Order: sequence, then structure tokens, then C-alpha cells
Amino acid sequence: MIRVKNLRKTFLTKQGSQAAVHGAEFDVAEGEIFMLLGPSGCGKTTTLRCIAGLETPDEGEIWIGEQLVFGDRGGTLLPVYKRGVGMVFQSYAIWPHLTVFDNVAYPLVHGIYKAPKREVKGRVQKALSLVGLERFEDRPAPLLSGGQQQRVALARALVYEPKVLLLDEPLSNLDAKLRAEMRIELRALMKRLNITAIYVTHDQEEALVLSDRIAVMHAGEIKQIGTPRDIYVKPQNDVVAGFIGTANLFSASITAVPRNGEEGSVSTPIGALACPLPPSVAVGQPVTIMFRPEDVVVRASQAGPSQNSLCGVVEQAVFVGSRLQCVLSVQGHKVHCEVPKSQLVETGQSVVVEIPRHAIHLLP
Amino acid sequence: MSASTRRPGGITTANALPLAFSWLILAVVIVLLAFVLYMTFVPSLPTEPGFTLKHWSNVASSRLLTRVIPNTAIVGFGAIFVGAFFALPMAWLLNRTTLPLRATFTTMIGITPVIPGFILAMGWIMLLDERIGLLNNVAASLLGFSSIPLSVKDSPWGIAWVLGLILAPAIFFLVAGPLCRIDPSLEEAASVVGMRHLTTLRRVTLPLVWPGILGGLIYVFMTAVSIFEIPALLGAASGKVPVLASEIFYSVRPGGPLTATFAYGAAGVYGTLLAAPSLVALYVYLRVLERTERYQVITGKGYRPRETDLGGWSWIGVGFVVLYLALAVGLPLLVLLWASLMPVLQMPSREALSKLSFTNYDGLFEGLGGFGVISNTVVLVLSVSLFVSFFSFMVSWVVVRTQAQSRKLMDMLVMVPHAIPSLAFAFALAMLGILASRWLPWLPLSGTLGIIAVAHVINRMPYGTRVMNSALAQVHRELEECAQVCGTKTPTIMRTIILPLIKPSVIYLVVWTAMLSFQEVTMALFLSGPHNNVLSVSIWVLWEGGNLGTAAAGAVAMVATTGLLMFGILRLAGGPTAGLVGREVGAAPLTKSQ
Ligand SMILES: Nc1ncnc2c1ncn2[C@@H]1O[C@H](COP(=O)(O)OP(=O)(O)O)[C@@H](O)[C@H]1O
Ligand SMILES: [Mg+2]
Repeated sequence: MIRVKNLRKTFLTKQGSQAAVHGAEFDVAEGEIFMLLGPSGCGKTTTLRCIAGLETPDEGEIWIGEQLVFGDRGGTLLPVYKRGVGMVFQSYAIWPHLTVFDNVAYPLVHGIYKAPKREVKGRVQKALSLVGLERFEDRPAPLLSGGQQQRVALARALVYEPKVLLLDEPLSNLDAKLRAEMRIELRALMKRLNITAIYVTHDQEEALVLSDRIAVMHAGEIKQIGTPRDIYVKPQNDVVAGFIGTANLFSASITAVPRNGEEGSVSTPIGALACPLPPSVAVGQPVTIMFRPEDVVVRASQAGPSQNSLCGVVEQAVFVGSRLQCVLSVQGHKVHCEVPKSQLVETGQSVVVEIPRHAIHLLP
Repeated sequence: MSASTRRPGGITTANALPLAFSWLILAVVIVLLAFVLYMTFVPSLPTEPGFTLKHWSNVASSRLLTRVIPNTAIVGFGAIFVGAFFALPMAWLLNRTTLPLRATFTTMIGITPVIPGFILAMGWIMLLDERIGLLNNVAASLLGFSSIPLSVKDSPWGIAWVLGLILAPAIFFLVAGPLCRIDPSLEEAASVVGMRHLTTLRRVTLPLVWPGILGGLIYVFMTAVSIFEIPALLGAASGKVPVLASEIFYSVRPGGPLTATFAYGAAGVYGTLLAAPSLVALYVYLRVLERTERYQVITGKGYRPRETDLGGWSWIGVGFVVLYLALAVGLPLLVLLWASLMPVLQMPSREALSKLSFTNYDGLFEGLGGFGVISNTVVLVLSVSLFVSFFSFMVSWVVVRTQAQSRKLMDMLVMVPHAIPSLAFAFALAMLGILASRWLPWLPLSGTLGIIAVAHVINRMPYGTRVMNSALAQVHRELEECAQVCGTKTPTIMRTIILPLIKPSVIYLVVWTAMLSFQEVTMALFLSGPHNNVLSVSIWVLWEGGNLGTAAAGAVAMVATTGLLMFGILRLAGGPTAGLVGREVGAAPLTKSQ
């Protein structure tokens, strides 16, 4: 449905040129919710704006449906108003001089999505009821709360039934509780309408909950594309691992490769660890290993023989409600882990740390 | 759907319209400038062949060097001195102290520019003149002299005094802007480091604000030396105090006492002499401004500057501001009102009061030129304010809203009329008018209202674009982009989204431009013919013809109309627009708004 090829965009500023996006490449299937995730300033908005036509890329190709809307060869550039996409801006861009009804009706009254007069009212009402704002038609836009403005922006982007919806951090201006509710609601709505969406966010939780597939961006490049589970469980590099959730990352070297039912093992700064290894590795090869805090098991003392057990000292333990987040010191290195709230852990306490071998993931 | 084929990064169709209009107005500016220069190298009219340098060599003539240039210098520097004498203390009093009624005073200073300067000059002639001056008579009778030989007429110092009073508001707002915007934390930091108050002023405050102030002072200087009608009233018309502006005027419109023949080339040289230094100054100033902005020393908003509590000295401060307002506006207008009600100007007395009458007003309508002049004025004022708003909107759109490569250049070019004396533009237009009447007889230019309108529009473009730039910069970019995504094209977006959002600024600009066009004389007089007289020109002509009483009545009527219109329109337009007066009026004319 959407295809982006080798997208490049450089901004010329007084300080020099700034490569906002270089070489972004992805496909979005019909009906898919595709997430652009990355820290602030990594080029997500720029990518989205290039697709909408609000920025002109320096290089690359952009297809929407069967149509080439931008191509560096042949110099195709389809103007914004002909691209047939809906967009929700980060600022919501609600026109303050219009009422809610007039805001949502705008695309049907002016421009190329103009509808016959008699249809306008019905379609606006339908769009408003989709987002649960039926009774707010006559409200002047400045009198809306943040959440309501976000809904108006969404209704306005949906009212002309675009095939593609672009959303730029639509929930970032809401408070935490509302944000959590809206995530689920938004996903349900988009799935119900079977709309193809590109969604930009810097919030990894939002990305994991909302999306079908995620592209993790960093400094203008796409670092990995995959399903939320893939991205979380099998990050392809330390940038992705570090950005999604908390990760314990250690450089390691291979000490034994798996052979005849024996397991492979690596030596790391925190000690020797047994872990699953792909067959292609060789002894002595330097690698990076990663494991998640919630997979680490922490015990007060050694309970029988077990694999991958290390000794450590609790440096920090923070109670966050559902569990305790701890930082342990193992051989002088920090290891992040999570402990159930029922378990008592104190700063300074000596503990035994077990890292289950299937929790260890090797970064290629 | 068809894809337009254009080079990526090029100009998309969305911007074509504003770009076209912007270049149209800028092309007019450039052509006129080139034309002034061209005129200096042809013997007479460009219709006749030949090339000559004699206009330039004539610059060394003794009359110019010994009389015109010294007079012009006295007028220019004197006006700055007088203006700064009033404006600097007021800028400090009204911006950095706790003086009572500050907002009211600031607004009053802000709206004085709508009162025509030549009317104030007329008032001052009636106040300070050896023969008829009311102040002279009062002082003479108090001191027991037969007359006081002090007069604003026939001396460059008198011209400087009146111009200084008139231009003080410009200096006031030029200084007030930087004074308000200096981050007090910078000053505080300096005093913490141990600098004393004066040292702080010299080492920290002044370096931060001098570029703005310097640029502004150059602008005020150029305005002072390029105003024609006030020096003319005060002695240039009689040939006693020739200045550059009057030399240009009488070279192109003989009839004055000095030049009996046309001297277009000479006028071109004088115009260039006026224009060249200010163009250089404008360029330097814009460069300096860019550099200071990069260092971000003057921060934008969100804090209040530190204010000094004057305590018991407040009343002296209030007295100073009131004194200025009285000298600049109150006294001249009062004396004109008095003169308009007297058959012959005389001292207020019981006897004089018994002669109060409206006879001067009876003949006013005919005296001013009847219905023709009124309708000319209305058409001129309306068309100028509409065109200025339209073109300013288009230029600012390109500058603020697009990525067009030419936008920086455009922003600078549109400031050019600000530096070029209005008289030079009027001269170029007058020449074009004369040429057009020979080459393109079907194009009515010379002696029409249209030629005055063009002059006024060009003259007001710099200010118009400053107002529009700041208005457009306040409209979030995404508000417009969202409409684009919603399937609308630029013209529709301008009409349905942008204009409604910046309505207060637009109304304000329309009203303010109309007021300034209403009171403008220099260009309207320069370009006047038998059929395109406007009200301000008629009053000026009445006065020059010796009809002081009728002229005074006309002046009173004009000021009253201005006041009523301004008040009425702003009341109708409501709060947001009215709030702009006094703030926008003062926006330093040269400061960039982004
Ligand atoms: N109009 C612009 N001019 C210059 N630089 C820009 C512009 N827009 C974005 N950038 C720069 O490009 C980079 C990417 O910006 P953006 O796409 O907005 O990031 P994100 O949305 O991921 O936070 C940033 O470093 C930003 O400073
Ligand atoms: Mg962004």
C-alpha cells in the first residue's frame, strides 16, 4: 500500500547541513499499522512529512497505492492536496476560528474531497460518532480538552475516508492514563476501518501495544523492522535493544560452540555464561549478548546447583508498584533486573543472580 | 490524478501565485530605482538622445555646497537631536520605570503619527513667529518688548525643531523595543560581577541595543531630510532655506522662486545623493542585526524587564511626557483650532472671543476643491490600504511560509523603499509618468490618482510586510499544512484559514495604512496635477496661497476626521485589533520579525 525506497532528506541550516533521514526503506501492507519508533530528533516526523508531501525529499521514491507520488528519477512530485492521505498532526492543528463541526466538515466543503451539500452533515456526524464526540458539534474548537482535540483531529482525518492515515505522535500531549486508554481504542478503531496507517511515536510502550510492525529509527536510519515481539525478543543490534525496554548488554567472546548435544558458552565481564548459539560462530569470535531484566532471577542464596549463577550485590532497589526494579553489581558491572514485589531485597544485600540460558540473546 | 513534473526541491505550484505577486511589486521598486540613476546621465528627458556627466559635475556648484547641503545637514542632525532629547527620556520613563499612566501615554505617542506633520508645522508657525506668533506675543507683552525675534520660519533650526518634535515617536519606539527586550538577567549578571550602574550601561546594555538604535537613527535622519512639505512651509518655498528635498521638488516642478526651468538630471542627482547613503546603511544594519540575532542576546518574551520605582519623582516624569505631548500635538492643534475660529489671527482676549465665528468653515468645502477632492481622497486612501495589505500578505507569505530560495532576498528588497526617500520614488514615478504620456498615450499615469497610489503603496510596503510577517509567524505551520492534507489548494487555504486567523492584524494594517496615506503630502504634492488633488494637498495649497484661516479650518476638519475614523473603526473591529495599536505602531520599523 505504501512503499518507501531509499528516502533521503537533508536540511540546510545556518549551522550547516543536517541529514534528517538517510536511506529509509520500508513497505506497508494494506490494513497494516506501521510504527516509526525512535528517540526525538531521529527523523520520524521528516519521514512522515515526506510521505504526506509536506517536505520534498532529496532522493528516493514514494509510492502510495499504485501511484508514484515522489520519484527522484523523472522528477515526479504529486502535490500534498492530491495525495489522498489523512493526517493527524502532533499539535492537532485544530483551526481555532471554527467549531468542531466546521473543523471536521472542512475537507468535505472545500478542496478535492468536496461532497454534495446534503451528504456533509451525515458524514460529519458519522465521523464524530466514530471518535465518540457526537454531542460536541457546536463547540468552538478552543474550548476542547486535549483528548477531545485529539479526537476532532482524528475525525477530520477520517471524514473523507482516506485509504492511508498518517499519525504524528497523536497521543503525546495527553496525560498518562488517557494515553493508555486511547492506545487500545485507537487500535481497535483503525482495525475496524481496516485503514493503512503509519504512526510515529517515541514511546516504546505505545509502539508495542498499537502496531502490527515497528521500524526502529535512529539518527536518520532505520535500524530494524519487525513485529513487536521480534523487536523486543530478537533485537538485531544494540541500538534497538537499548531503545526498546531496558536491556543488559555485554560484549563477550565465544569460548565453546555447541557440539554433540553440548551447549555453547561465552565469557563475559560478569562471568562465563552458557547460552544457545547459532552454528555459524567460531571460538574466540567477539559478540554482544543481551538479556532483559525481567528474565533475571534473583535469590537470597544458592538453591542447589544451577546453570549461569553469579554472585552480586544489590546497589539500588526501587519500588514501582507492581514490582521492584533493581540494579545489581556483578563483578563490578551493573546488571538491571526485576524482582516480584513479594520478595524482600535491600540495598547492600548479597544475592545470587541466575540468568536462564534461553533468556540470553546474541546480537549479530 | 496527474503528477506534476518538477524538479524535486524546486518551487511547487502551491507557491506560484504568492511568488508572482511578490516579484511584481518588487520589480516596480527595482525599476524605479534604476530609473532615478539613469536620469542622472541623460541631458534632459530620456526621450531625447545623448549622454552626459554634467549633472554630476554640477554637484560641485557653490550654491549646493555652501547652502543646500549645510542646511540639509542642520535639518537632519538637528531633528535627531531634538527628537532624541524628548524620546530617550520618555522611552526610559515609559518602559523601565513605574510611571503612572504608562500604557495611555505609550498609546498617545503611538498615534501621533496619524496627525499630519505639515498641520503641526502650520500650528508652530502660528505659535512661534516674530510677527504673528502667539507665544512671541505673550512673551513680548509679559516682558514689555515690542516683539520677540524668535521664529520657526526661515531658519534651518526652526525646521529641525518642528521635524524633531514630529519624529520623536519614531525614535521613542526604536529605543523602546530594545529597552524592553534586553534580558534583565544579563544586566543582573553584570551587576553581580561587580560592574557599577554606568559601567553596566556602557559595557552590557549599549552593545546589545546599539545596532537597532543606530539603524533607527539613520532611518529618522533620512526621513527628516526627505520630507518636503515641512521645510517648504518653514522657508524652503520662499527660497530662504533651500534643502535637498526642496531642490528636487523645484527642479521637477518649477514655479518656485529659484529655478525657472526643468532640471530633471539635477533632481536625479539629488535623489541619488539622498538614497545612496541610506541604502548602504540599511545593508550594514541588516547584517549587524543578523549577527546579534545569532548570539541570541536579546531574548523574546516571557519576562518583565526590571522597573525602577521613581517614588516622589514620578510627577516630574509625568510632567516631561505631558510637556512633549503638549509641544508636539496639543499646542499646535489648539492654536489651529483657535485660528480656524478667528477671521484674522489674534491673541486670545475678551475682544477676540466676541469675534468667534465659523466663517472659515463656511467656505471650506469650496476652498478645498469641492466634491472632486473628497472623492479623490476616499478612492486613494481605500485603494492604497487594500493594495498594501494584499501585496504585503503575498510577500510575507513567501518570506514566512515557503522555502523559496528567493525569500531572504525578497525580505531585504521589500525593505528598500524604507531606506529610499519617498521623494526619490515620487521623482522616478513623475518621470515615468511624463515618459508614458509621450510613448504610451493610452496609459494614464501622469497627473492621475493612480500614480499617487503607486507611490503610496511602495512607500508603505516595508511597514506592511513587517506587520504581516509577525502576524503570519504566529500562525502555526501545521494549521496550514493540515488544510493542504485535507485536499485544499493555497488560495483556498489563505481565504478560509489564514486570513480569518490574522484578521486583527489585517484590519489594523488597513486602518493604519489608510490613515498614513490620508495625511501624506510630499509625494501627493509632487505628483499632483489639475485633477488628482487630495485633501492634504488642498490644505497645503490653501496655506501657501495665504488663506491661513481656511487652511486652519481644513486642518482641524482633517484631524477630526482622522480621529473619528480611527476611533470608530477600531471600536467596530473590537478588542484584538485595538490592542495592536500602540504595540504594532511602535514595532521598530527596521526590526525583522522572525
Ligand atoms: N525544517 C527543518 N529545518 C532544519 N532542520 C530540521 C527541520 N525539520 C527537522 N529538522 C532536523 O531534522 C532532524 C529530524 O527531525 P524530525 O524528523 O522532526 O525528528 P523526530 O520527529 O524524530 O523527532 C532533527 O535533527 C531536526 O533538527
Ligand atoms: Mg517529531
